[in-house]
Amino acid sequence: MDMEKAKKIICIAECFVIILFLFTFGSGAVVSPIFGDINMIDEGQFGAWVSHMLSGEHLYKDIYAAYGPFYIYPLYIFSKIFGPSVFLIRIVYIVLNTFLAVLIARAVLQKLTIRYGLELSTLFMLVIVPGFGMRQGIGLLSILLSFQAMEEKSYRWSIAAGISLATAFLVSSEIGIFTTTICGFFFFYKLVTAEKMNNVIKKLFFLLISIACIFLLVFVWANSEGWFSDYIYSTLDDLIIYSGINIPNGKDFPHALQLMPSTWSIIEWIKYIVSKEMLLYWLFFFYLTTFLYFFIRMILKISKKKDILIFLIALYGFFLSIILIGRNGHFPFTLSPVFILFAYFLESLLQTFKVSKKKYEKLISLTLISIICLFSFRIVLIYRPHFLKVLSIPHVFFEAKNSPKYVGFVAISPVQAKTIRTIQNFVEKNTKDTDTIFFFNNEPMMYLFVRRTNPTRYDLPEVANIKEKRLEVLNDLIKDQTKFIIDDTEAWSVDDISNRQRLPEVTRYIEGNYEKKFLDNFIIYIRKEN
Amino acid sequence: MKLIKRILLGFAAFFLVSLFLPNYFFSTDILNTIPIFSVDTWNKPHNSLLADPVFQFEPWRHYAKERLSKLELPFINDRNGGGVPFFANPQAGVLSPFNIIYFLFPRAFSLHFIHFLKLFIFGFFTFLYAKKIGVKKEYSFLVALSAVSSGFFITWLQWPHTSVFLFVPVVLYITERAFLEKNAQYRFLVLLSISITLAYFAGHPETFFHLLMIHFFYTFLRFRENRSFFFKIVFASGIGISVSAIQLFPFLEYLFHSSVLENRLERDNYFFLPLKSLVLYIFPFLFGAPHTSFYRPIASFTNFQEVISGYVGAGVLSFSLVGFILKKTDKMVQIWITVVAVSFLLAYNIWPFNYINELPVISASANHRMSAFVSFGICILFGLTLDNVISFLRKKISSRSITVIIILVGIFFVVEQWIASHVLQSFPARTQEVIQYIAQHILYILITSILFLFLYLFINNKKKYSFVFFALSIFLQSTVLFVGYNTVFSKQSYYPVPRLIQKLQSLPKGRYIEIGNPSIPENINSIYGLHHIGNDDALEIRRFKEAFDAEFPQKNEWKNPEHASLPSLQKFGIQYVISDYDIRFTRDVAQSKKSQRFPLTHDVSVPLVAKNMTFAGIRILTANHNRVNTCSIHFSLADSMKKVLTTTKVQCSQVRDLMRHFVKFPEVKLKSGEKYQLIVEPKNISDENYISLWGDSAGQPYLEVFYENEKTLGYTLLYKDQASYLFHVSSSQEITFGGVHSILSQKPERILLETASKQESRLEIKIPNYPGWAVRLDGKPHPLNTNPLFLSSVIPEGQHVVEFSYKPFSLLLGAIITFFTGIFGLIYILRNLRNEVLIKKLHQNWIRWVQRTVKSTRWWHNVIVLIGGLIVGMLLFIAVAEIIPIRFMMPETTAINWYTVHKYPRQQEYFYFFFGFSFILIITIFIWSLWIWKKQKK
Repeated sequence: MDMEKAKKIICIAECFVIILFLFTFGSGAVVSPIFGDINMIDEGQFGAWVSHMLSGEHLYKDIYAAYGPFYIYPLYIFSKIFGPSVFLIRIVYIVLNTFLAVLIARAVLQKLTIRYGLELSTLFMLVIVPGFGMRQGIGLLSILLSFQAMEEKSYRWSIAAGISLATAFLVSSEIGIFTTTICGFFFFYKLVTAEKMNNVIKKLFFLLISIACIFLLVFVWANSEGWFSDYIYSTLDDLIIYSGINIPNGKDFPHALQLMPSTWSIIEWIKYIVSKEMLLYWLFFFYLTTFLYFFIRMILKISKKKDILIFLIALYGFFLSIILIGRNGHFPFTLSPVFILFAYFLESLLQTFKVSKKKYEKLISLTLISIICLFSFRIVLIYRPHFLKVLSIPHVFFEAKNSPKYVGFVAISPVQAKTIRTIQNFVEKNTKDTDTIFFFNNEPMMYLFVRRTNPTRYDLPEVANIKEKRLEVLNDLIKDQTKFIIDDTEAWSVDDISNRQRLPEVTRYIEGNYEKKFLDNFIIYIRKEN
Repeated sequence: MKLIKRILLGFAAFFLVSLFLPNYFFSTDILNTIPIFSVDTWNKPHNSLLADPVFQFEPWRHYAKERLSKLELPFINDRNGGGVPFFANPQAGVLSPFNIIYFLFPRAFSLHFIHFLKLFIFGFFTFLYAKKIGVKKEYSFLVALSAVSSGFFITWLQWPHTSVFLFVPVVLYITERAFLEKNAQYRFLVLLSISITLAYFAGHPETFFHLLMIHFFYTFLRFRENRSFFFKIVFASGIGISVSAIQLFPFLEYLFHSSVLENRLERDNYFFLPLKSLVLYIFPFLFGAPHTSFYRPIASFTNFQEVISGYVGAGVLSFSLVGFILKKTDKMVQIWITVVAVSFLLAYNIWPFNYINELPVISASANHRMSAFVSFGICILFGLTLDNVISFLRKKISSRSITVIIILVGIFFVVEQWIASHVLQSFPARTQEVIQYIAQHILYILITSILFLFLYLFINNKKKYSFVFFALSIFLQSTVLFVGYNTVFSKQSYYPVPRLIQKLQSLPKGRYIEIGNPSIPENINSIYGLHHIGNDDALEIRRFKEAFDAEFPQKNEWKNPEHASLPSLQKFGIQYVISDYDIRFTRDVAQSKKSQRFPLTHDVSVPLVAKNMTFAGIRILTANHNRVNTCSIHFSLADSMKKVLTTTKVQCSQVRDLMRHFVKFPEVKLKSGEKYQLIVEPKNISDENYISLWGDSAGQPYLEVFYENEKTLGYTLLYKDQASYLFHVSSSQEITFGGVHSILSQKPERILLETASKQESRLEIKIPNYPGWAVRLDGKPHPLNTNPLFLSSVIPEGQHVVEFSYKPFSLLLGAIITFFTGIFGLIYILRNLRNEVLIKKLHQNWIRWVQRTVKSTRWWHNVIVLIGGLIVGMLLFIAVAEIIPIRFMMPETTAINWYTVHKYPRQQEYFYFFFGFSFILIITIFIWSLWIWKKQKK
């Protein structure tokens, strides 16, 4: 068997294992694609979007979405084929999405010539950490392809990089901006340092052409459906809102000094050092060290070609981690570049540890390896897969059959199933297919379960936290004369600020124009007859 | 390096001098021409032409500084014209390199430093340029001196025209260097682009256009045989223009929406100099000068500043002309005489160049100011040919001819003295003064010209000290004449706050209009934080101006409306009226002609027919001859039987030049349709103590008669003094809406309102509708009514948040072009830098150093130092953050989220994060560098 063939077999085997792992354990976000309660917010958003789109509504125009069209439309297409369900959402966003992103990470690791064991460990870390998907993956891919485009002679890489950069924007505007900035710096660097500037210009020309082509296609598509300008406005709106004081979900950054234990107990101090909050500081400490590492390598002229790629990835990771200022709950979403950087450093450290005969050198290498391993271990501890719960999977085949409508082949807890059924029954009994319903708390998945449209654009009402949007919700409700507004008294309040608090105008309107009725843990607001 | 050192030395010297100079280099005394600023005492302004700096440039600088200090970019000026483009107006100079000094430093320092700097840069680069084209070092100094003290540069010093013009020698010098230094040509091409950009930002598009034109012409004449270099220069200039796109594009947009472009294209020969003004090239003060005791404009459409721009001194001019004849085969002389000739012919609109002046763009670019290039060119010619002229004169002029010249001047002096003592006695005192003034001026020019000639004839030009005498000769014919043209004033005289302004400042915010005399004219209102409905920025939004002119058609010499109706005021959302008369009275123009000024040295009787019952007062147009008069004027109203019905008195000291004066009479009942006589009697007058009235050729004064009005007009008197009345206009609002509205946030470029209405209603904000404004309803784009004069939009029923914001596409496009051209330029610089010998040398040294260092250090040494450095950095950061806690304001928002509920300003974290990260990084790098340096030393 020649090497190429062996590589192919290994690759297929790896893919199979990854898919199997993702299918059974899922990633850190859920227990498993076929087992575990539904995350009504994160998974719920997709459920609501698909439900509305299947009813003929358009993204951005009729539905508020912070993601790009390329991130949502695949699910919509699958839903059109297979029918919408939570199961499908999980297959698309946990299995397929993570799998594709892992493949990209694998390509990056192979480009960095990381040893196989380390590569597998890194892929494992990426799989178990929640939130690693194509949003981060497309950024990594764009960087990798842009690097290749400048290093390789063929213009195909430039075209691929251009497509990837455009796609990054269309998957997530945030990621698109980060990758374009980083790649922009890289191209600038190449334009300055390249011996033959013309080659770089030619490559950039192809890259820009491919970007333009993708955007042109999207423009034609979006314009034909009439949501192009809405997409542009809502993208700009999101970028401004999420970078300023108007951010809907955000809290202060943990203060390291205030969290410090007041006792001298070693255990308390260890707990403090490895606490979730301090991990944020460790993360930035790591980026500081990384940048200093590259700085020294540059000054001492010991940089290698692949250092540029890894530096670009470090920059990408740093940019991603900036979102933690204000949204530190998104910590796991920013970790993928860190694990790739870990792999890179571990590769060098292990090599040094192996080769070196000097005591101090071995000791320092070992210390650094240990620190990286400890950090990773702590991450694993926090986001560990639910190994034991997987033993329940066989039950899924019996329980999933009884799952509520639109849940699909997923076994959920009886409590959640009862809650869903209660609402489904109520809606089915009291409304027609064409009626609208507004869920006042952040449980957008309910729109999929009841298959009713939302009279407003906001499936997550917390997003409408500025006055303009609050009044938009209010006016939509007034205009629509929505018959039922449902409020789950046990729903989670984002950042401990409930939607009643966030949308006072809407709350006042509901209290003044609706009658209350209790249904389990729900309050059903029924419009008063005039 | 030597050049940079010299420039920095010059900057440092002027910086230090400016720091210690007292007062302001600024003439606010011109405000005395406005009655409200001189209610109690009137002093003659020292220079009546220094108006624009006080009325426009300083208020704009002030406004820009005020906005920038709040970290706001001033795209719109909300204090004039209801909200007009500000950034797009180049003369506002938001990006001007000189105004940046004003924005950063205290006013007193900046006003000195900016003008010193302008003189220094212009002089220094003229010197360098002259030297570069082959003029001797000492002569180059003389060229620089004569250019700096030329009529144009001194009289326009406080204008942005000179801020742009000073780049003429800069770009010429850089072009010459670029040609000569072929190995480092890129540096000069980059510098040329930067200079062109800065010249545009300096704030006067017409002068910038002239600069480009002359530079292109010069480069073509000089390097036409070297095509590749010529195109490089053109390309570099093009890049410079592209970089300025961020302001150029908004300006072009404003220009095409302005009233000025149409006006300029329509006028014939307005912008050209009269040929008779050529005499001023020799005798600059023949028609007087505004900073001296006598001044009269040479023609009604122009003034001293415009016609003096070509003046460099009789000596320099005559030497240049002789020099040209002697050295006419020299290529550089030919180039410069061509430049001078072309500029001259364009400025004076002489055939066949009058056809060029009719070409598009050129026809609207105020080519009469090309005379500045005439003066600059003469100075250069002077330097280029001085040696030839000196040797020619020394050969040709004998001691006999000199004796003859001296005798002739002596005779002139004697004749002048004789005429003064014998003939002029019979003339009025003022005429005597004027004739003597002119005669003395001619004499001065003749004497200094002889001295000029003498010095060049008899001082050995090969001696080093000679140029001091030569400089003196130039100094006497230029600088000395303009001493006092621009002067300093005390800080207290900087925009004083008269009582009327104090009153307006105490009232709720609202826009005002001036009726009749100027009181707080457009733009200076900005200094006081007041809002004027008028706008005077040399552009003005065409649609708004046309509508305003249609609504207020009666305009006076000051372009102020003479009368306003309540609906017109309400239409423009005007809340306050400042007037020189009581607008509640009924006004009747009894005699409307005002073409002539006649001295009020005898009694005047004006017949009038009563139009109403109760006579309240009259309004006349006066002149005080720019002096304090102590006479008085008695006004009486008599019936047809010559029986005096009512009388009143006005002190001449209260009268101002070309201002209307409202004379209030004790009320008297008249019979409507009956004939009456107004009798005007001057008292205590003398030759130098009288006022004049404007009226018709028959000596009948311009006269308005006022009668009591019994109807309630909707005006409430808020304040009055001798010069002004202030009224509040009822039911006039800046925002109109059919429902209820409240302002959530208001900035000049963005207004956020909350509205509530039971039906669809039109929301109108009295801001001129100008491209770039957009509406959002509840965060979503909403149609803005395109036709109306003001911003308006139809708001659906219900409760909404409406946002009007100014985000012009022209600015975005300009910013993109600027950004990408800047990036292109940066790549070009960096790529060329790589080939610099110095950089190559540094690189080699670096490699050698690295080879030594890498050998002597272990990687884990670096790790330990880095970790140590990081710890030190972090501890230092914690210490700094604890010692200097920074307080942040809660940003303006309508959001309800964790931050607003807990009143936690989010930007605090961004600040601490980025500052902390960079701080620790820098400290660690510093510690590591220190360690590696120490290690190397060992």
